[in-house]
Amino acid sequence: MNAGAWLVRHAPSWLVPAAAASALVEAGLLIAQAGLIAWLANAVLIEKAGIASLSTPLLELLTALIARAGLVGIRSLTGARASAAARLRLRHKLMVSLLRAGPARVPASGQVLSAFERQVEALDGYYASYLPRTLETLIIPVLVLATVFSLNWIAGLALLLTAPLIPFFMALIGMGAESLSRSQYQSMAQLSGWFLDRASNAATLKLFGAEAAELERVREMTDSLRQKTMRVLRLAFLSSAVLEFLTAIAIASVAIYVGMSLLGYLKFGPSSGLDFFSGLFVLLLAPEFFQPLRQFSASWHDRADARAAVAEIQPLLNLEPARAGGHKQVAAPVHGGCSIRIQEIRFAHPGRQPLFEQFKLEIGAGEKVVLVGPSGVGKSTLMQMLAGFIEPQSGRILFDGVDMTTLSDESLSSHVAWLGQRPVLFHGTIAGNIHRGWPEANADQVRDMAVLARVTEFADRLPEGLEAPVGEGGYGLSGGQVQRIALARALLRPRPIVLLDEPTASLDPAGEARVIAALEAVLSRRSATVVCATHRSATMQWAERIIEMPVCRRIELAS
Amino acid sequence: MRRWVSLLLPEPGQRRWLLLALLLASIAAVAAAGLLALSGWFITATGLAGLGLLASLDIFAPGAGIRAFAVGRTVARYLERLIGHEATFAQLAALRVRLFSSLLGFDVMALQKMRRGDTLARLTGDVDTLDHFFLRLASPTIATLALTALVAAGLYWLAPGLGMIVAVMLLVLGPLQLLALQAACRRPGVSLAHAAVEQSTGLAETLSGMAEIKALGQARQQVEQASRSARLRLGFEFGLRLRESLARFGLALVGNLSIWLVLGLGLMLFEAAELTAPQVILASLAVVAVAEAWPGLAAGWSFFETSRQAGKRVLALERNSQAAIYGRMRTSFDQPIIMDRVSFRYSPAADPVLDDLSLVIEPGEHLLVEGPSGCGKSTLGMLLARMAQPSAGSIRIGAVDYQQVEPACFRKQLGYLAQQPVLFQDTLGHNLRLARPDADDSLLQATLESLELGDFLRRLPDGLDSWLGEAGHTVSGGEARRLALARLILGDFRVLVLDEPTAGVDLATSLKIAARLEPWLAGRTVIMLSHDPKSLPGFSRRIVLEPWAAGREFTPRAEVRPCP
Repeated sequence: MNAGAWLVRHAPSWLVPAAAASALVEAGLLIAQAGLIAWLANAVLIEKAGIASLSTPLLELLTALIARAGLVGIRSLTGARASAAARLRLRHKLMVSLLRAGPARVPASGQVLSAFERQVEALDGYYASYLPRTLETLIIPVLVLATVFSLNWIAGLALLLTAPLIPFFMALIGMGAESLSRSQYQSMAQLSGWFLDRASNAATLKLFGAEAAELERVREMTDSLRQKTMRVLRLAFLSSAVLEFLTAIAIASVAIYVGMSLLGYLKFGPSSGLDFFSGLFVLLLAPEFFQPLRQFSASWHDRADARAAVAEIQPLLNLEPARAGGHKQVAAPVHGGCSIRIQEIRFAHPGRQPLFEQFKLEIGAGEKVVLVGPSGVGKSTLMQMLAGFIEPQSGRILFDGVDMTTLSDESLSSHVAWLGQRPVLFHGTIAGNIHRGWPEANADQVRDMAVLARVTEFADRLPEGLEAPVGEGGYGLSGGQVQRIALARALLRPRPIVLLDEPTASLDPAGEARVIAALEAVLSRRSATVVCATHRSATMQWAERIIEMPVCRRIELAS
Repeated sequence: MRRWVSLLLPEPGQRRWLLLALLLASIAAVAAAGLLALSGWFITATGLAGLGLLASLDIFAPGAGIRAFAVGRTVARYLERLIGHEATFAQLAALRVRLFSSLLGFDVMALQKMRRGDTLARLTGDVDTLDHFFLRLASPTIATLALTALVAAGLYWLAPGLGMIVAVMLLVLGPLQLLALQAACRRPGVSLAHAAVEQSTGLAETLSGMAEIKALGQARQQVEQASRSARLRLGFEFGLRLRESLARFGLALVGNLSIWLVLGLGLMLFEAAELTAPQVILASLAVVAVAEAWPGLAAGWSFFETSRQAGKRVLALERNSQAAIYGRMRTSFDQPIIMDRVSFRYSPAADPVLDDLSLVIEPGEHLLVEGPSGCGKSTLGMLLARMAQPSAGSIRIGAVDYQQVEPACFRKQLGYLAQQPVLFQDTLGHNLRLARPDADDSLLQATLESLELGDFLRRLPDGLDSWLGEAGHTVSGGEARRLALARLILGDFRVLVLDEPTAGVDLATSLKIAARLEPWLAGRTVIMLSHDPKSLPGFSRRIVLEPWAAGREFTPRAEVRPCP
């Protein structure tokens, strides 16, 4: 879908009708205002009616003026509302898409963060101002022109004659504003990115004693960006100058035409019938004919920004989900493990040789196995498939005879506990993190698990104990300490399958020993099925079976 | 508050241009108002003349006036934009140079700390915010005030009552509303900033903890939490927009009421024969043009607080900038480096990374520091390069304490290759010349060749002028490390601290590099930190840093082993 259509489709459904309605009301009010001013002026100044007798039109004018002021506020408010609604919904959709794609398919976090922080925000101007301005540009000039024509067709013609120029200067706006927006915003962004690079690495500059030279460089760089940008701006400003000029010319020519007609110098067509009322009315309407266009061109860069943003947002909304998704609710056994049967699965990363082809493996219920093998053999890929982060391209994986693809997300996560190499602790407390493993658990269960996983060993030394803050702004914990908290979190809820993906790979020997001790303590209490991928199998003494994963792609393994 | 505004004051050289831009903006606004007002005057006068109510009418002077205003409006607007943008860009450059020079006043350690804490990223955002201040707030406000004041004065001259209406409604009530808007936006503005930080922290956490969230079956809760924080943030933002919309309404209201009052009073004064008909229309239409300019100012003023906060942070940085934590001693680095019972911990509460380490490095010695990752090698390197300060103990060069060595003297003699070396978004040549600004192209080429980077250079489209990094040529980790090494070689340092000099470079290449480096390293003091010494240049002594005995996690001790 092209960016324009995508943007319109993601607008709140009420925005276009609301903007159209407000444009119609605005057109009505501004025509009424011009008409009433002209009428009042004509009545008092030409026809010498006493102002005391004109209280009704004066009140009507007052009402129109107040209503127009109100409309100014309402337009700004609806724009803000529409933009907030659109961005909120988009953020929600993005989040759902990311979480459905899961850890194996989500792109680099920098790209995603930028999509959320910058690109979604870049749509603000589009919904808050560009889209409403577009409707005003379509509606208001037409109604103004119709009114002018009804008053005096020659004046109408004068405005209409500038209309063929409109596509011309729309193109100019397009070229001008687009390149203005692109070059000005881009060079601003470039400059701020470049400056951030310099500022955040100022330490390196000091290492080389290059301070003075770099200060000169900053000056030089901002200067060259200025020159580059100004070259484009000089041209781009022409488009707004053209608009400015057309408005001025239209007002001037209407004024002179009306003036000459009133003086009786022009005798053809409707000129002789032109009176002061319609002359002033037309003059007041002339600038309003161009006003929407000027606002429209001012918000043009919002369109360019939004279109650029869509290009980055769209792929994130269409990420391939981790699982096709099943709906079967299967209660996980509370005690004991599940058997795992891997049936002739195939898996290949895009554009690569298949990692698995007709791969088979059976693991009995409650069996504790270790997968070993050189890196790149597919240990992690297999673990990701068992955890449901990716699905095999063919073949099936059965948990206690149930195809795991048919399980609902909830059922799957109630079956499988997963512990990775570098677990992440969430902002909160140690206990809070463990609790996330099973929100239904009570405080005693959390505490017992913390003791078992040897979390209390270090937590009790902290002033807040298990309530010590972790994550952003919390205590700096060592890798082994984090791993033990994550272990307690993953195993708090009794899940029949425990997957351990290189749980000690990023730890030093001392940390590794502690995590392994914690692991043994926890696993000895459980009869769950355990699958552990590791390149240090010797340390996993609880293992009942060691499975060597060979490099060859056609393998058959059975217990 | 007065202080931060000083940041926005133009540099003396630019002052004229800014004033000219403001003058032109005012001329453009006045010409626009004048065009409409004069046209109204003209057709009223012609209308009366046509009816024979006006004895004589000079149609040429007003016609010329209308044309002059029409052209003047266009030309003034165009020039105002050009000059205003030129002046603003110059202002931006000045602001950046000023900020950068106060940044460079901090010492290396403070800069590292600010980098970790995102202070620097936020500062860049602050400068961008200040950029918008002039374009979106200062310039339109001043032009609108000038126009309004001019029109008010003109109307006062026609009839004092008319001028008073414009003065009270717009020159008093208008600015008051803008100030009220600025005050009302203060608190939601601060809350919005907090909510935005919270939201992006939550998002970063979701992304890094994706596997945990999925495995724990908490995707739905996470989506709900994200929606909650997005709603909170957008709520504060909407609060700002609501205030802005109210201000737009209020400004439009005083403007439109002025139109009505001026028209009404004008008509009454006409009846009282104090004003002529063309004058009434002239006055009314001038006010129509003035009223139009005010509501647009609300957008800029609702972000006044954001600009103020940004300005304050930039000023605070300037105030805190301090260079003098080091002494002014000058000394030669052809002396032993003595580490005397050095300990290091990242915070007083944390376990020490290095504990009670003593070491003497003789001049000209090639020392290898080995050990598994996490044993404190990089910390040792940072201490030796004065990128960090020991928590206890001292480091001396000869008899002089490290802290007493004058910064320029220190940096001229000691070169440091960080574990994650930094290449700037700039040309390759500029990156290399950091250490030696006067190096000519052939020297740079020869140095690159010696590090097996000749092919890399030939592949680049513009050779040494090729742009590296974002929006330029991307450099692999191994290439970046070798480029940083080339930069060090160019610097001709007496002492070199090399943290993992050959990481990310394949064995065959690093052996070639090692062979070429050896003659160059001869006679210099070299400290190499590596977990994999196979591919390094020769060393004369080896130290192994090992984790301390069990019971004290991660506390390494140095064990000095004789050279094999």
